Amino acid sequence: MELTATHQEALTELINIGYGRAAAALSELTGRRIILDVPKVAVFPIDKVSLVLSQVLQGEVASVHQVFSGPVAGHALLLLDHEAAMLLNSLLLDQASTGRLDATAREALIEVGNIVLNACLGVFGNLLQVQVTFAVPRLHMESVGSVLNSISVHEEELQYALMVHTRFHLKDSDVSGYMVIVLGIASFSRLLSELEKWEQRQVSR
Amino acid sequence: MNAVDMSHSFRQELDAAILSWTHQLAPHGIFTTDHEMRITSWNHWLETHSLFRAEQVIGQPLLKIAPSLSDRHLDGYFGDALKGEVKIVATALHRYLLPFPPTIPNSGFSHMQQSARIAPLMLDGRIWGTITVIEDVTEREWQNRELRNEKERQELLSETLAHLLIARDPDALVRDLFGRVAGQLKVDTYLHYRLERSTSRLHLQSSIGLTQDQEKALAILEKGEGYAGAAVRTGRPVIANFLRRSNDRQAESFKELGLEASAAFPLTVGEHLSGALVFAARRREKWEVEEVQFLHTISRYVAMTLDRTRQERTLRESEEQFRIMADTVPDIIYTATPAGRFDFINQRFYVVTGTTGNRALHFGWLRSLHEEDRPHLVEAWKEAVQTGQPFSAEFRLRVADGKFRWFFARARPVLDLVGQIVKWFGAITDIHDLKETQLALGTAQRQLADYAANLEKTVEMRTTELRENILHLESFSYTVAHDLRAPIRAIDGFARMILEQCDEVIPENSRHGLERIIRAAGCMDALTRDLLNYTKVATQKVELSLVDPNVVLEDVVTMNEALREPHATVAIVRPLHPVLAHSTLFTQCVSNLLDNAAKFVAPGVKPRIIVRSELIAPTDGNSDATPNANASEATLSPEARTSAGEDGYVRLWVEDNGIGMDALTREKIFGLFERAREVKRYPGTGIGLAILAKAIQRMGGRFGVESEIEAGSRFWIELQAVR
Repeated sequence: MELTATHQEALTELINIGYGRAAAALSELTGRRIILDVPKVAVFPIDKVSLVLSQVLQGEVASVHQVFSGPVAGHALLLLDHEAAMLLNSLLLDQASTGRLDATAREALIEVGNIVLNACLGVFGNLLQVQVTFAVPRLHMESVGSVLNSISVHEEELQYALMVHTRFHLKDSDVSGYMVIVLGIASFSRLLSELEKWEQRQVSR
Repeated sequence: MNAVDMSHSFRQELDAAILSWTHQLAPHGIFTTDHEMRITSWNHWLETHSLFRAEQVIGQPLLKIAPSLSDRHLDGYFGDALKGEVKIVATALHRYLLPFPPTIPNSGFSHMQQSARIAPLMLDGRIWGTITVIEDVTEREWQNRELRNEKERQELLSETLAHLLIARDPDALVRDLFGRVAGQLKVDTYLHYRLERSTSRLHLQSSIGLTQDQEKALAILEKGEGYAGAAVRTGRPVIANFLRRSNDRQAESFKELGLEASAAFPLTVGEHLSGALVFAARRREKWEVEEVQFLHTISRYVAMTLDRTRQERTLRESEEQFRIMADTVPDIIYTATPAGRFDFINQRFYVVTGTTGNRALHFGWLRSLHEEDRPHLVEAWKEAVQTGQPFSAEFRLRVADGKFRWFFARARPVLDLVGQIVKWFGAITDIHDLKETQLALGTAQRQLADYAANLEKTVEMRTTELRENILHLESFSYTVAHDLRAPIRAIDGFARMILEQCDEVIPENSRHGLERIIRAAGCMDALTRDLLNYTKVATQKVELSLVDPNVVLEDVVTMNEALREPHATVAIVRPLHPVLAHSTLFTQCVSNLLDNAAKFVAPGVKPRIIVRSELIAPTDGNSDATPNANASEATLSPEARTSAGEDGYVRLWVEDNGIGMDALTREKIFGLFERAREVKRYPGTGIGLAILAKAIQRMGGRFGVESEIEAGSRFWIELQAVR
């Protein structure tokens, strides 16, 4: 399944809306201006994602993982390499990094990831006009391969991954990461068709 | 019964039971709200930690119980949960969800630190409300914070240490340091005191957090005064908490300043105490142990830095002094590295050589060296540097006027504690004039040696000539005296014959003339006889042997009527010591002396002569006395020669009551034909004492006279004694 240019444009715009909300929430939370932008959106079959991601995220990766269920079900992940996770953490908490991700730091990352993921998925939910139910977000520290493996191993349905390169701008620094939304083929087809409708609505408006 | 068989109603009952126990037992806070955010359940943990009982809060709007939620934008989280989202409340971002009192007292947290999860509460597929689980993470956060603080302190310490290591101005440093520490430890005041050794007082060197008046009031502390004084006196930190409640006298001044806690540290490095550093706070009442340790460490660093800057200052001053001194001394002074490169040379070098700049450093000084001296000097310096032995060398340097002058260089290595060479210290002295003098002296000495060698030859030659002359002269006068006596005797004989045979026919005046001829002939005869004697004494071979003066004196007195009573009195004071002499010459000497003593008396005075002798120790008696010839011409007999001088001398005195003589006469009296003016009217030839002088001289003795006009004379002769 390929994303057309139209799909890509529409997806980018929608995610930007979600990120806009997330950035507002994070700015409110931390009391300083935070911007989230989306340089690139792409779709890969799940078995390719691992290959692509492991080229940009090396070693141990901090991933905030949230399972969502309902008419559209899947996994939402925010992936940051260890360095980026540390940097983001110290920038958000405004304190020198202790050099490790302790419980406090992990919790903060979960909250931030949760905000970003919820904002995005919320926008999708609104678009698809479905109620999405979330499980409690969790943080894993492992390699990209292990993360994706634990997700796909239990699913028999053919899966696709929406990969969103994500950049946090705060305090003159950039922190780069990836949001990955893994969907079954049915959910993904539905998302694309809803996107097309949305696009048409936007044009006709 | 297994789970598959469970009926629906049983399942509901079981869930209710689990929920009931969960509410009772859960170590977390659990509460639920309806979709209007009114509290619907409040578990036991919440009752315990919130001080709100369940019945007080159930049914109440959550925002009434915790109004701060909306200020902290957390009310939206409940809204999101009502939309189906699961929300995480992270401690790091929110500190807490509900404002409960802290579970750890004195932890520094105003509220219990919480992390929470807010989830939608679904009922029959619909969102009915929210459920929230709160975890108390105060302990975790406290530990984290301590860990972070500790890390920050460590970083601060290492940063401080790095700073201190290069600091030049300790006061600026302490000020800067305080800026960093202040925020970390909530201190707002510090005082740095310097110990004045002579008075044992503490002087405020710098401070922060005090007004000018307050600084003035605390400017000088007497011995032991205040916390700083106490720290200096005891050499230990003085920590004071809860100052407001303290009745301590030392706390007074700080209490007035509104300070609540103080920590004073002595600034000590080893035995050296330089002052005290006091930290104080208005916003905190007490110090934690770790904070005290931290401040103590900082104080130690500061003390070390103060000590280092003090030592550096001393070193700089002493180096400066060395340079000034080195430029003042008239020598060239230099220092060199262990490898022998000159790293300092004083101004004198440039003045002497007329060069400028730093040309002499490293090995530049070699350029001023005389080419001939360069190889051996470089070799010697290399060897000294390699062996560590003191260096010295002479060489020529080109001086300001372009000429070369001689210099002498010396250098010694300075060793460190393990015997490694740290530096060479050297001095170069101008020895040109000295060197020239030495050369001139060498030439002069050589010339002198040549001259001395020639002189000896000349003297030897002249002496031989002189001896021959003397021998010729003596034999001549002997011949003359001997041959003269024959015509004298003829004149005398014929004059007497004329007088006897023609007594009656000779007129009176002719007789008178004849008598004068006879008298003159007598005189002439005596003169020639004496001359003969003198030359005999001078030419005769002299052999010395033991002579007894008693025997000689007896003979002389017996032979000469004029020395006997009633004409004269000769008193001999015995014993008269035997002498080593030539018997005939000695007799002649004694006879001459006694003759003179009896002759030269005032008219009508009876001569009184005393003869005595004294022994003179071998080393004495050679310093005084009159004309004297030490060079004896006497030939000592072998047995006498061995004892010569060893037994000392015998001095034989002949004392009279005669007319005496003046100093001038005393000097001349022993010369040939010399007669005292006063004795012209006395008969004599003026040869007697000359004969004596010659005789004594030939016997290796000495002679002399002590006399005053009209006070008599005391003649003495000195000859070797015989034991």
